[in-house]
Amino acid sequence: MNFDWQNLTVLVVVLSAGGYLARVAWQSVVRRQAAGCGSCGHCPTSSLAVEPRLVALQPISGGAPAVSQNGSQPEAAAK
Amino acid sequence: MHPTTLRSTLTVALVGNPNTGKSTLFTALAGVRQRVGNYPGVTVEKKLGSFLLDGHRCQVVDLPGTYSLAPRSPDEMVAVDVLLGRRSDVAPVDAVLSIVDASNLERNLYLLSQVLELGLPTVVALNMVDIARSKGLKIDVARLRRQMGVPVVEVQANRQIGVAELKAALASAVESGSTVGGESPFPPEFQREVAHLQGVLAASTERQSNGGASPLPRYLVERLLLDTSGYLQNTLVAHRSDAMLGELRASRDRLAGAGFPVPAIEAQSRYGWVGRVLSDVIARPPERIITRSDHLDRLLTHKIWGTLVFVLAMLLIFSSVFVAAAPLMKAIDAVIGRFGAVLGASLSPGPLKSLLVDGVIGGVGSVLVFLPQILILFFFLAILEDCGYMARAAYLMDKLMVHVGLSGKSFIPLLSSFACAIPGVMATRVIENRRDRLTTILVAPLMSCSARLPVYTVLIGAFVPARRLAGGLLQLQGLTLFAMYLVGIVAAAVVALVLKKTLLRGPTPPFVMELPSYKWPSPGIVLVRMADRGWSFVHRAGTLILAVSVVVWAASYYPHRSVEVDDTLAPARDALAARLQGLNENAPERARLEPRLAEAENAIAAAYQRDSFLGRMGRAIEPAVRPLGWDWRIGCAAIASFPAREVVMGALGVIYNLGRGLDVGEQSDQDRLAARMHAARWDDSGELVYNIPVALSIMVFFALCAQCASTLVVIRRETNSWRWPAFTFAYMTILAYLGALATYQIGMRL
Amino acid sequence: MLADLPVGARARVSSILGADELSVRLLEMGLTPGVEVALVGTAPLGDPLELELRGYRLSVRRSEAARVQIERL
Repeated sequence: MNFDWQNLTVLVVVLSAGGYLARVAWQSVVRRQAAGCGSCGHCPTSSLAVEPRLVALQPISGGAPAVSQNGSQPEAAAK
Repeated sequence: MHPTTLRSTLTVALVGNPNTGKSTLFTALAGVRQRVGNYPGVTVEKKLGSFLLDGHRCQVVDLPGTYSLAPRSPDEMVAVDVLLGRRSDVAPVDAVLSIVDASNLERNLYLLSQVLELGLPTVVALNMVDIARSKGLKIDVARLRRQMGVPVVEVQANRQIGVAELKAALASAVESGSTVGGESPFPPEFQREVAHLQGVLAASTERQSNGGASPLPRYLVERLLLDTSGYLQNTLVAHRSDAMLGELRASRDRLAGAGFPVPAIEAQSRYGWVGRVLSDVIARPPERIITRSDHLDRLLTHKIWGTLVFVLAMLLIFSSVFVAAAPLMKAIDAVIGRFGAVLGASLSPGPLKSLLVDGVIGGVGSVLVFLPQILILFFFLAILEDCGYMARAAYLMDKLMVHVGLSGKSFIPLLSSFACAIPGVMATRVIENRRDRLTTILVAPLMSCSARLPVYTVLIGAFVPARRLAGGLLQLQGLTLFAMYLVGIVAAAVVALVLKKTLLRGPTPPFVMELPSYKWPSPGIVLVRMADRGWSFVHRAGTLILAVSVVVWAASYYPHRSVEVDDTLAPARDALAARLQGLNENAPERARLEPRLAEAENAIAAAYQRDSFLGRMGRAIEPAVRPLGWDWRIGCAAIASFPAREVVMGALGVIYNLGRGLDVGEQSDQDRLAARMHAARWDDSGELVYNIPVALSIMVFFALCAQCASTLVVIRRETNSWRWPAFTFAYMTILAYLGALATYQIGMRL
Repeated sequence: MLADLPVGARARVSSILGADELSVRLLEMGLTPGVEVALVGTAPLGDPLELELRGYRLSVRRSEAARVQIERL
């Protein structure tokens, strides 16, 4: 009779322990893809958590005809 | 109205050089209630506290101690991003609290000159005025305030002096929102180049994002121009920007042509500014005063005396870690045992009882027993750090550590790992270079920690003959123990070298390090640090390690069915129990029957273990461990000891019918286990399982394996990623397997 | 070179060679041209060196000190 509730409790405990471990492992896989790259000092992994406010630096140096190869400046032209 | 006065919570960033008493000031401001976490993606610790400022909740962010805000890695970038409000996980900073060491103003003001350029309201806390005074320095604070144009408050953080004034100064700085002078320390030529680059960037940003993105702050543009490592170019400048890199190069060339070469110009300009700000501020004694710290330093870095003191200090720390911790560990063990016994007695036999007694108390208890050792070690580490000796230890040991590709800063963490890898891994925080720190963390668990001792002592006592060698000078058993420690050290050296040549390859980090003045450690800081780290260990024991223990217990308990038990063992036990029941209290037969009943119980426990998932796993891997000379029982015990390696002997005890609750700390239990091992035979051939090569192979395996969930969890915490603990477990298990294989195979052929 | 300075001697920094991380670090720590340094001593194994400059103690390896050009005082 007490066998049943003991088994039930244990089942819940073991499952929650397993679930907790699985969750921790899963989180680390999902969230921290970019974490811990120690091997390369030059990788462009940004430490910014925000949508990175990167600025794409394009040639606009004085008077140089900005004929960019990719031709992706329609917005700029529209301004 | 200024916008900052409207916000209910203010954010203040605390910046300063290492060894300026920054964490002391942090504690003085925010008390011991600190929230510690990690910034995602980096290994930098995020420390937050709060206090009341003029009725506003004020959050303090303790930024990592640094000599310069010149980021060359993601870890170093964190401080700059926090200060510039570029992180979503920290509120924008309303004011900067910059702590400087009054006894070492020149170098401290270098960092301040960078901070001032950020254009945030800044208050300077002038700490360690007492030490400056002992050096004979007189500081004209009013003049310093005037020449710098920033509020300067004298404090003695360790005695809580000046904290109220500091808060008042912060409040008024935030209130007025006054940004500081803004006078750039750089020559006009440099400022022109920065303005030019800023224009280039702004124009290109506008084109790219339709004016949506905010422009790069001037400080970062300066950094971009000054940073020759290429890190900022890669971080801040998006792809396909060869032309921009060309702009940068052209700017640098123009500056070099004008006599301001990058990067030297930064230090030149800033130290020039420091010189101007400090002119007539410090009155030095005509003769340099030889302070007590100088005398002490001469002794402690002396060729002979310094080495002697170092060795003695390390011996003292170690002996007290083992000697002073022993009674405490025994007490904790007794409390845990007592707790288990009480709990066991109050529950009816069944899975829940086994879970609580064997799984939870047995698993977490075996980890908690090490708490005294860990606390004592943290206590000494905190003292070493706070009094300034830690840097000297690194200085003394650097040459030694260079041979394995590390620096002197790795010495103390690795040494600590001989007691326990957990404080060792946590002590690596003093290593600022990421690659060095990771390498140290990854090899620290190879040091033979105290949890390996029971494995060594039981096996050596049981299988290595107590023979004397070299005319009685050496003893074979002691020599074997020493060899086990050596195995770990040699493996660590080799692994460190290999890691630094492959996975963590990179330029040798500079060992340009400040040797701070000695001072009396502040008891408050030492205790807070010890309690803080001890608590985080207990916290982990209560969560992840608990979960691991429960899962491993379940694997060793279920399915809890055994044909052998049902057919023969259980009826035999029941018959014995019935006979005992029929006897009266002091019947002479009792003395004979009771041990037999206990043995029958143990046999049942062993049968269940054999048929558990764990036992089946053990048998499944027998082909893999057979080349090591192991039978499935040893393999099974090795798997069961994943949460904590000292559990292996207890697990073997269960398998060898000694029942649960075997205490390998007790000589009698050790002898019982040794006797069982001597008698163990292979299931198929009937030959003896254990001989010297097998015992050595087990010892080598446990010297090198990563069977310690706590260490892996701590590595995860310190590296902020599961990748490194997974790597540690994998490489150490492979190393342990190969080491054990070689030991057995060579041993059998000798 | 700073690395060749005898123990106890003083010198004035004339320049730092290179433009890499190490040079930047040396500069940041105050080893800028014109500053006075003294070699206080060496570690028991002969390396690193203990310097005094700008009123504080700094430790650098011999190989790093070789980057620092000096004039003896």
